[in-house]
Amino acid sequence: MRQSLTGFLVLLAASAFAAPLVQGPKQNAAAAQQKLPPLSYVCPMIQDAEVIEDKPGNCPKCKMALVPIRLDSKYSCPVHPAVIRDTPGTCPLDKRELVRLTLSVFWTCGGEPDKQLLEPGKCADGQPRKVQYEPRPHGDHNPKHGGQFFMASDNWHHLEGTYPRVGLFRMHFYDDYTKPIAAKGFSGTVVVLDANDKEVASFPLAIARGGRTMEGQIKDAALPLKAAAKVKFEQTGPENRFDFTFAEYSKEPPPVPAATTAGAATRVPATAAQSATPPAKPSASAATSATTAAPAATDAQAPAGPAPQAGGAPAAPSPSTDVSQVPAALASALDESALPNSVAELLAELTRRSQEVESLVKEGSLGQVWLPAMATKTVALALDTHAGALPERQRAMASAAVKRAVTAAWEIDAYGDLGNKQKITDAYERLASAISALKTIYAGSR
Amino acid sequence: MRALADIGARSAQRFLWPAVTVAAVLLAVHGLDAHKAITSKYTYNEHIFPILRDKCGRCHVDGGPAPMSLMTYKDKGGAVAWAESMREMLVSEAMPPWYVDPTGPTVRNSHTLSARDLDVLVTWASGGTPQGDLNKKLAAVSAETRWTLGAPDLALPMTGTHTLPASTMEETFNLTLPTNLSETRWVKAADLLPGTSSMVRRAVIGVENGPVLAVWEPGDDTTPAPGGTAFRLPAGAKLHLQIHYKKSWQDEQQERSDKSTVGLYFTDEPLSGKEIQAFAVDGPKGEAHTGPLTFGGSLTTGGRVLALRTSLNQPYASVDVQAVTASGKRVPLLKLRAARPEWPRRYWLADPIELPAGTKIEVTATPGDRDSGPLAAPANSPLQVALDIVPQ
Repeated sequence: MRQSLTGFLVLLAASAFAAPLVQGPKQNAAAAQQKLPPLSYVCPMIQDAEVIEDKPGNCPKCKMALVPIRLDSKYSCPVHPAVIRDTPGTCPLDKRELVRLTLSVFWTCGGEPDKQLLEPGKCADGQPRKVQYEPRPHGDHNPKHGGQFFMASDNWHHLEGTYPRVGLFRMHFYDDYTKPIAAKGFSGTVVVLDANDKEVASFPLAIARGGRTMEGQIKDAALPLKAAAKVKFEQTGPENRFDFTFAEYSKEPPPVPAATTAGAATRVPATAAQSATPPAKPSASAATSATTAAPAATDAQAPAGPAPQAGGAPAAPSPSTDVSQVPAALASALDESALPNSVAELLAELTRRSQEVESLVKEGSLGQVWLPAMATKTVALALDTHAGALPERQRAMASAAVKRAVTAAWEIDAYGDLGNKQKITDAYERLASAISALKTIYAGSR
Repeated sequence: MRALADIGARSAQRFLWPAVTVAAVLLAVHGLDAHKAITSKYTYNEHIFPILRDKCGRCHVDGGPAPMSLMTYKDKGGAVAWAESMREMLVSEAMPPWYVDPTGPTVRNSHTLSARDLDVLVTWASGGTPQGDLNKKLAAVSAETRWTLGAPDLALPMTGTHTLPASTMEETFNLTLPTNLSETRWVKAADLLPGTSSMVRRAVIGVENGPVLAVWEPGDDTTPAPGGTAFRLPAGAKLHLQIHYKKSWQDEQQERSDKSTVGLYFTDEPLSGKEIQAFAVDGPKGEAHTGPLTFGGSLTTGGRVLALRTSLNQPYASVDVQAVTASGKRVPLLKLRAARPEWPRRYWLADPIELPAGTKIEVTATPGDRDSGPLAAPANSPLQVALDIVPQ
C-alpha cells in the first residue's frame, strides 16, 4: 500500500489535532487524548528518512526494523523551529510568516527527555506527560532525475530542475521529505540567462501531464544553458528564484537496486551513487526538537513500554549516543592539521580555496559550493592563530576579518541549499573582501 | 521498496484508523536520536556548553531575560530546540548583540564572540547537535538578578508595579521617580534591577530635563564613567525612567507584572566642577532609508568625548561616526557593523578623545537588509547619535 505524505498532511492540517504547545498543559492533554495522529513506521537511519510505512516491518533500504512515530503537520517560525503553532500566522519572536513543518509528536516525562513515548497520559509521579515535537529531518538533497536540487526558503518545498532535451526545461517538486508532490496551484516562469546572468528570454512554466512537474518550452537554447526559475507555490505567496546551469542534458539515473544502498555499514549519506554530482551535503538541519510551555514534570520512572514491534527493537542509546559521521570530503575540508604553518603559505592557500568557491559560483554549481566554502574558512581559522604576532590594532582587524570570512562561508553553506545565485554571489563577495583585508593586514605587518 | 510516490492513489481510509491499534501499546522509541547524521565533531557537553555559559548564559538561561534557554541540552527548552535559531543569529551576526566594529575605536566592556567560538557553535548547530559524553555532568546554571557593581548608594524602586495585560505583548512605559535628595550629588553610574527579568527588555534612566544616566540592556555589565568624571544630579531632582516591556512568547495571553528598581552610584564632585553633557545629532526622519546617508552637526564648545550613544531606526550594515576638526583632520569616534535597532546602547570609549570647539561630527550610515531582520524591530525608534562630553 502506498501512502502520500502530502495528502496525509493536508488532512492533518484540516483537523486540529493536539493543541499548540503554548496553550498550557491542561488543554494539551485534553486535546491530545481526543485524537492522535496515526502511527507511521520509519527507518531509523536518517539517510532513509523517505521510508514511511503504515505497518511495522523492516526498512526496505537498510533492512533495520522500522520504528513507530506519529507525524503531525504544524506551523513554525522559519528560523525558530522551537516555536510550534497549530495554525498559520506570524512568529511571536520576529514577526515573520510561519511556515509549515512536518513533526514527529511524542511525550516525555521529567528527567527522561530522551524517552519518547507515543501516547499522552500520566508519568509515574502523577504529572502529565509533556508533549514534544521534533521536526523530521529533511530528506536527502540528492537529485532524483539527474538535475539540480534545491530547497525553497520556506524549508518545505524542494525542487529539482532538469534539462532533459533541447528546448525542454522541467521541474520536479518534493516536500520536506523529498517525496514528490503535485505542482497544483504553482505558477512561474523560466528565464534564460546569458553568460553575465542577464535575462535574455522568459517562458511560462506550465503544469505538465501527471501534475507533478512543471515544464517550460525554451526556444533557441544551446548548451551550456543558464536559466533561472521563478516560482510561486501559492498565488499570493512570495516568488522563489532558483538558478540552474546545465552543462549537458540531464539524464535520468538508472534505478538503484536496494542492495546498493542497504546495510548499516553504508552510513555515509547517499552521495554520488545516483548521479554524477560530487558529494551531497549531509542533511541534519531539522534535527531539532521543541518543548512545551508545560511545567516540567519532576523526575520519575516513566512506564517503559514494551519495545517496538517484532523484528528487533533498535538498540537503546549507548552512553555516548552520538557517533560523528563526517563524510571524507568534509573531513578533509575541515582538517587544519594538514595546513602549512607559515602566514604566507596560509594566505596563498586561502586564496586558492576561495578561488574554488568563486569558480563554482561562476559556473552555477550552487549545490557544490558549500564544500570549498568550508575549506576556505578552515584556512581562515588557522590563520587567526597567527594574529598574536601582529601589533594590537592589526590583530583586532585581522581577527575581525577572519570572523567575517567564517560567517560568509556559513552563509554560502546555507544559501547553497536554496539555489539563489544572487545571495551566494553576495556572500562570496563578503568572503573575498574579508580575504583581501587579511592579505593587506598581514602584508603590512611584515 | 514502497516509495511514497503516488499522491493520486491516496485514499482517506488511512485516516479512519481504528482506535484499537493506536491504543494497543505504549511505545518507547529509542534509537531515532542515536542515528542522526552527525557531522559536528564538537559536542554540547564538551565544547558548546562552556561557550554558551560564558558568552550567552546571562540572558539565555531558564528564567532569564531571553525566552530561549541554552544552558541545557534538551531539558526546559534547551539548546537543541534552538539550534537552527542559533545558526541563523550567529551567521547574520545579530547575536551576540554587540555591534562594535573592532576596526574602529576601542570600546570598554566589549562582549564579542571569537571567530573560533562562532565556528564551533555553528558547526554544532548545523551538524546534528550531538550531546557527547552523557557521563559528563554539567554544572547547572541558574538565572540571577543582581547589581553588577554591587549594592547601589541609592536604590529607587518603582512606585508601583506595572502590569502588561494578557492582550498586550509589548509596551514602552514612562515614569518619574523622585530622588528626594536635599543636596547636589554626582553620579558615576546608574543601573536597573528588573523585578521580572523575562519582561524587562530595555530601559533608559535619565535626569528629568538633564542627562541620560544609563542606557540599560539585559546581560550587560554596568560601566561607570571614567574616574574624575560624573553626571550632576541637582538637589530635588527627579529621574525619568523609560522601560520597554516585552513579554516572552511563552507568556502570550498571560498577564505579567514588574516592579524594577533604579540604582545610583555616587562619586565625588569632579575637580573641574564640570559635569558630563550631551551633544546629539539627529538623522533624517521619515521613511526608511535605502542608500547610504550622512548627517551631523558642529560642537559649539570643545571637550573630552567619553562615550557615544546610538539609537537606530532600522538595521544598518555600518554606522561610522567621525569628528572633523577645523584643520580637516578626521578622528574616528565609533564604528558599528551589522547594527540592529533593538539594541540602543551607550559605548564608553577606552580612550576618551579631546575635540576643539567648532569640530564637526559626521555620521555615515549604510542601511542593512531590512527584510532579513531576524529580531523584531522596535517601533518609533529615531535615528540619533549622541556624544557624552566633559566640556573644556
